[in-house]
Amino acid sequence: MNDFEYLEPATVAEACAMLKRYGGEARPYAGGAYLSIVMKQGLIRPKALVNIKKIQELKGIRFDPSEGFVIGALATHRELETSQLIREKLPILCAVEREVANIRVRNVGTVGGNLASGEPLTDLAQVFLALDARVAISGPSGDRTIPLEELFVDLYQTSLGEEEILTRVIVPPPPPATGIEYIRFSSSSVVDKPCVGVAVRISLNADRKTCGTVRIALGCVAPRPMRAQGAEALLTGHPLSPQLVEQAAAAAAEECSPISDLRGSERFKRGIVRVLVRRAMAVAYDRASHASTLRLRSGQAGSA
Amino acid sequence: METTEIGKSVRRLDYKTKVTGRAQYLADMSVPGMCHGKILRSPYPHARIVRIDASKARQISGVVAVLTRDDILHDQGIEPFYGPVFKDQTIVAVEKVRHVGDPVAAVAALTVDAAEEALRMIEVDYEELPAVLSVNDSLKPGAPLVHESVKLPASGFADLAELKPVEGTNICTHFRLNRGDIQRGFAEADRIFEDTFTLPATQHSFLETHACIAQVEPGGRITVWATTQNPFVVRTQLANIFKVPVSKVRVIVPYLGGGYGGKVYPKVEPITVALAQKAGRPVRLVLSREEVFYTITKHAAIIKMKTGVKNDGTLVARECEIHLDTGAYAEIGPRVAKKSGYTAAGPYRIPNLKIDSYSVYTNKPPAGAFRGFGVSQSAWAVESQMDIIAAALKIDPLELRKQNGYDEGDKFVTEETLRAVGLKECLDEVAKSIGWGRMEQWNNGTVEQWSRGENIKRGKGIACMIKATITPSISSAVVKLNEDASLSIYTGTVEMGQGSETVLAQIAGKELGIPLETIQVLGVDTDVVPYDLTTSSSRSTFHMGKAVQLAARDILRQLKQIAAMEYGVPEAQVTFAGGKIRLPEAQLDYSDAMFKRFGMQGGTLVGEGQVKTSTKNEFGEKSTSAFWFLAAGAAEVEVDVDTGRLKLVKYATAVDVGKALNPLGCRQQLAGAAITGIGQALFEEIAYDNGQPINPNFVDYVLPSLGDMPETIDPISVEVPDPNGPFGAKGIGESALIPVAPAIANAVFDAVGVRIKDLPIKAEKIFLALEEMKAKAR
Repeated sequence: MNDFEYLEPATVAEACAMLKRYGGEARPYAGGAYLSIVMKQGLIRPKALVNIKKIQELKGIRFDPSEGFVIGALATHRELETSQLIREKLPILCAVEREVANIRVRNVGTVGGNLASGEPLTDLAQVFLALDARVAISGPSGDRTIPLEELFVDLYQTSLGEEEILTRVIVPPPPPATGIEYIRFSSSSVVDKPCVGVAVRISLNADRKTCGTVRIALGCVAPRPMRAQGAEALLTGHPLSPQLVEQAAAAAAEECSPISDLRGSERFKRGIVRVLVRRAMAVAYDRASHASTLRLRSGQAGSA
Repeated sequence: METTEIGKSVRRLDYKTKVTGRAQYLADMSVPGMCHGKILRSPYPHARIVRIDASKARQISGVVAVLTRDDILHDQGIEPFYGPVFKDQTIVAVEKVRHVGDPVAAVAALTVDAAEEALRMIEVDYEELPAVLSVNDSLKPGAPLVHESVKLPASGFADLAELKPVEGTNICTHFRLNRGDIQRGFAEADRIFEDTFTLPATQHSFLETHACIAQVEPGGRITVWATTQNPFVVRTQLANIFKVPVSKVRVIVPYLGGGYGGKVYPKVEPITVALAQKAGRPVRLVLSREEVFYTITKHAAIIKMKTGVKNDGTLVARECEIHLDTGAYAEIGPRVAKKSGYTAAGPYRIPNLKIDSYSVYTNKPPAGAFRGFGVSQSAWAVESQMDIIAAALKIDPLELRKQNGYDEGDKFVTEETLRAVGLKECLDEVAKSIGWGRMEQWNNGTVEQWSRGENIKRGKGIACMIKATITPSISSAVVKLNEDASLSIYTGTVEMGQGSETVLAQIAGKELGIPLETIQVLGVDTDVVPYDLTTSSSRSTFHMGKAVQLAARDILRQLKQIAAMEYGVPEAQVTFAGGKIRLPEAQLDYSDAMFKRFGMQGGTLVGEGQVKTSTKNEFGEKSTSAFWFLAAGAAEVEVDVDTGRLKLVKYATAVDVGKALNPLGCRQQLAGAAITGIGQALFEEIAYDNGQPINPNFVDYVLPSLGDMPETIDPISVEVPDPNGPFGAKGIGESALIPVAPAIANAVFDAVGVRIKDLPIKAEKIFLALEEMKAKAR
């Protein structure tokens, strides 16, 4: 690993100023789950690491009646997994986190770092996308909040400026009669990075039969986590039927753009997308039909 | 303190040291004045080295020595060529590099950072050469040659004497085995089955990477601390390379962090010694995980198998062609190929055989010994095809195996008589454990009947194997009885996690009737311990165990003499029980006898034991193995017919251990080998792009985790004692690994009717095969 300066700001503003001072040659550092690996491999050689771990305003998980769930960038995977609040009100996240990497990574890896790395083989982004999450970003020139979708640009590339820091994830309270399911598919060991990850969220109309809002988020099958909007559109306004599920699953498999790599061929990944969308959709719809309160029903995230 | 028992489980003697993290491993050791070594490696699979200029590297502050081909070619004190079978390796590349990662130069510096910086300053001009990156490419007429010529050693291994490289080709060795009349055999067959099976290069994945500390004294005396499974072989090789007598080379082996065959024969020792010699001070070299991928792999293989069978299931003929990708250097590949050839008939009586087994050079990192030594390659083909035959003939796979399997006294393919053969006991035990035959509860249906919601299908599979141990070989042991009747054991057996310390202490303790707590097994230091060939080939319990037993008996013999002399009784009247010497009228402690002998509280009795196995067995036949390994495995799997995802539900492994000296140790060895086998079967594969490994790390090279394990792994010790083993014991280190992959593949076939012939059995392969099947059914 190369030599680097080590900086320890107390506030977000201070951190942004430090990043600015190094003009793109500094990196914010939190859990280090991603950064330590790419630095050891010599893929990036920052001149400075800005340790943001001690910044209070980036911590914590809370519920705000107007904004929804506010997850600080420094919240670790483990915190999300074990949060009482999340477990009661957004249990799908706990279920997903239980399967992220392994306990050692979950103890240090942060939600903010996970999203800001732009790592394409990940799980959380799909679930957040399905929930219409937004991310708050701070920089020297002020704060902004963007839909999570707009954060991801390409493989390992995000729309974060070099002087900016992702500060929190905001998940709006889902509408009533909403069901969500996430299925992580590993093509080899259960602890391998996912080969395909599919999240489906269905919020039913007042008739509790026809689909209102549908989100189908696909991970690992494009340069960035993506929504299968064509497939979503097929369902909106319709009750779920086996034929419709089959059509939407096929559409999602068409819409993505997987590449052949160590974790599977393009053909295989499209096939898996199709199976997972079909399976996740059935579960999400069932959960939506039985949803009574804000609490999103979820046992554990499916593991295909 | 209780007297030592065998056949009763004891906790391994080193457990506290290891679980508390206090065990000393090489990478954590240092010696005074030590500097750090780093290796510059080839970025090309095949290239001529036009120019090397290390002058800038030498100027980096902290750099003590830079080693290039000039140093080894022009130093009269160095023999540049070495290798266990052929002298085709050099310390650093001389004329050309032959694989990505081939060492080109090395640096010793005061800090690791300075060494790394110096590596970047070494200028190398390469002229890229066309490379052969697969066995098929390598065998094409006119293919580029990895070695234009290969130097043979003056004297080599007796068992490999007939094997030579085929001049003008990339064939490293060609082993032939012919038995009976192959044409008549096929003519007698009712059915003939032809299949090709493949498996990829994989890693040993020991936690501890290769490392070495070397120190060269002005007089030429060499001391190395090495991560090696065969210190005496490393000693010989270093003596040859650096042109000194073996007495001038000292090899010390701390606890080894796993070996599995990946630490036999010289690895980083020659380059570290050359660096230390040039630096004039000790050097420590520790490989990164990536570098291990360049250093040693398991042989990838292509196995073509043609088998003739009678309608009743009797095997009558087999023709088999095995091609093992041995990479850029022969290493021990020729013997791996030979052992693959010997076991291509599996544990079955097949009267007519034509077996050709090749080790083939390619421009890939070298392949060498790997737990199972060629048999995990051949058994993948043998045991998969057994089930193909069973399905075609509608015979129960278990019955087909028992019908053709070896019994006591049968002749092996070499025509030697098999002794102590627990094959069918192993098959019956795993069948019982897995509930073989109880399949009715799972109605897997046919492809046409598969519908959504019933996507999980179950199946069971079985496999078995026979393997030989390295023969001839030598193990010697020395034990010292101290004045207080405690015992010190000196052997060259390397404790690498297998529990050898514990079992050797048990054997000595049982023989002498003394408590385990009073016995110390010393670490390996070739200056101190007597010769042992190698800690590999599952040979230590059988060979070194016997040597320790003989050494302990040598002590008893001396004690008997002392007692007889001191008490004036005939030796025949002196007996031993419970750690005491019994005379007609008295009973003596060993310490009393020692006091009588030396006349004071002091002195040492030294016992010696030697085991030398022969190329002739007790039947007067030419023998290729001092004893035989037999084992079976059975798997129960679930397959998701939509995704191809496989879940291992249960795995049972039975090994004929001869006699379980430490039943707990046996269970751990069996389960451990099975787990390695599960990784090899399901996930593991080194992926290459133009000769460059693209997953040389444990993020992308996927090892099995606890979450991938079945809820039950049932390790079963079958006991068919071998008369020559200590208390009847045989070796067990490798056996349990070998049947895993075919047992799982056979279970997949049982579950969904898909036959996977290419390891690893990944979800994608099952998925694609199922897609094809579903398309046909439509």
